[in-house]
Amino acid sequence: MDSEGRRGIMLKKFVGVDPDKCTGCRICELVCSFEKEGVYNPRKSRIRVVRLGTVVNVAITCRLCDEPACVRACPRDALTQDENGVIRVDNDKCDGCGWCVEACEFGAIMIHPELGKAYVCDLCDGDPQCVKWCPEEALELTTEEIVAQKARISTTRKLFEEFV
Amino acid sequence: MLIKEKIIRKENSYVASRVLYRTFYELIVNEDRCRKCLICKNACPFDAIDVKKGELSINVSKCTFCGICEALCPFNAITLYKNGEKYNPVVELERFPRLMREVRINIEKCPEGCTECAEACPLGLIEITWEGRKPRIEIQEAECPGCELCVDACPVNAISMKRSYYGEISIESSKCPPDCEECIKVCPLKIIRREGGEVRVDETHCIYCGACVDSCPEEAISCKLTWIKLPLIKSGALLKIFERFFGTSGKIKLLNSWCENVRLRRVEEREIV
Repeated sequence: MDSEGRRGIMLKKFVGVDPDKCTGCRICELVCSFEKEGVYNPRKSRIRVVRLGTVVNVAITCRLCDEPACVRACPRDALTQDENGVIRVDNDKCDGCGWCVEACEFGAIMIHPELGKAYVCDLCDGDPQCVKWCPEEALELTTEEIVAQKARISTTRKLFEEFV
Repeated sequence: MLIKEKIIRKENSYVASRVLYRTFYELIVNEDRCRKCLICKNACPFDAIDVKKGELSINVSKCTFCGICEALCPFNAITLYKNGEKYNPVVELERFPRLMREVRINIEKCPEGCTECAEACPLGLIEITWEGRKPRIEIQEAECPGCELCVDACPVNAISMKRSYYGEISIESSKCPPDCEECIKVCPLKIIRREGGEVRVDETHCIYCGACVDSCPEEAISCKLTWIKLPLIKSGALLKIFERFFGTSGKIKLLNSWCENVRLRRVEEREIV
């Protein structure tokens, strides 16, 4: 991979979640379905909250991976990745076969319960509504670099607490 | 290389076989266990099985000996053999799950001398022998369709099991000719009864196999599977079967439950706690 491509990923913005802040209230699911479909139906949301017991709450949506597995898996070339990293679905070509669902490592791409076509987070054209409405400010439009920096800071802080 | 395809009817069994140059495949239907329901007919992705008026027939030239019918048969009537050994391609290559047949009996709870569950089982799969204070219970789990009749018969709630088939069934009694007892005779679980002038079905125990639909001379019965609970694995064969049974919406439901599982697994792997 050339250096320019790598820099591209570093700048690629996706909706990330801070698991320490997320309360699992599922407001993002409602906001997403309302913004995109005009209904309050979590089943049609592009962002999904996973709850494990009562402690772990994480919202998961498309990570805009480099060389995305869903695009590679699509047998009909219905999925493409644009220059911002967003996965675009061509509804005329997609027939809901589900290969992209099998390929996705995060469970972020889904099949629409009514249309029968694949659908995935498109970052609301750069202004994600879920980030705007998250009451705990757990969701953020971040890049890999920012996430890594935050992880470094929190680790250092923990170390500091241990020693002092 | 294909040498011959043939169907042999033996006593108590129906054998479809395909002999190739080096291997031979056999599909044996145990006619004692086969209740002539429609599950294998509806499931077969190649439409090779036909059930009509209590007669089962297999079109050997269409059959691929894939084993999906064996995996789904609620009464375990079908067995596949390859070169004389039991071999189910889809299950052994992990492209199709088997039904979850689990019957658990808590022996500690059993009151002395009780044989309610053995009497309630319509297929006679439970055997209880009392030796002093503790019972010895033998269950032929492989053939259990999961009707839960024993669960409800148990006086102390000692039995738990997993149900596989979910659906809807209704009988229009107004269409029934008087004295017709075809469905009552054919029902493998004996849960259809004539009460006064009406024919009633016990919906809580039905496994929606469709044997009564096939037998009814007046088409008065509508029986539809709405979901089959299987261990979730990612496979195209499973997807195809769900599409055959429940249409596009069933397929989408299965795909989206895969997404849910993937998400859960990812979060578990990250060990955020």
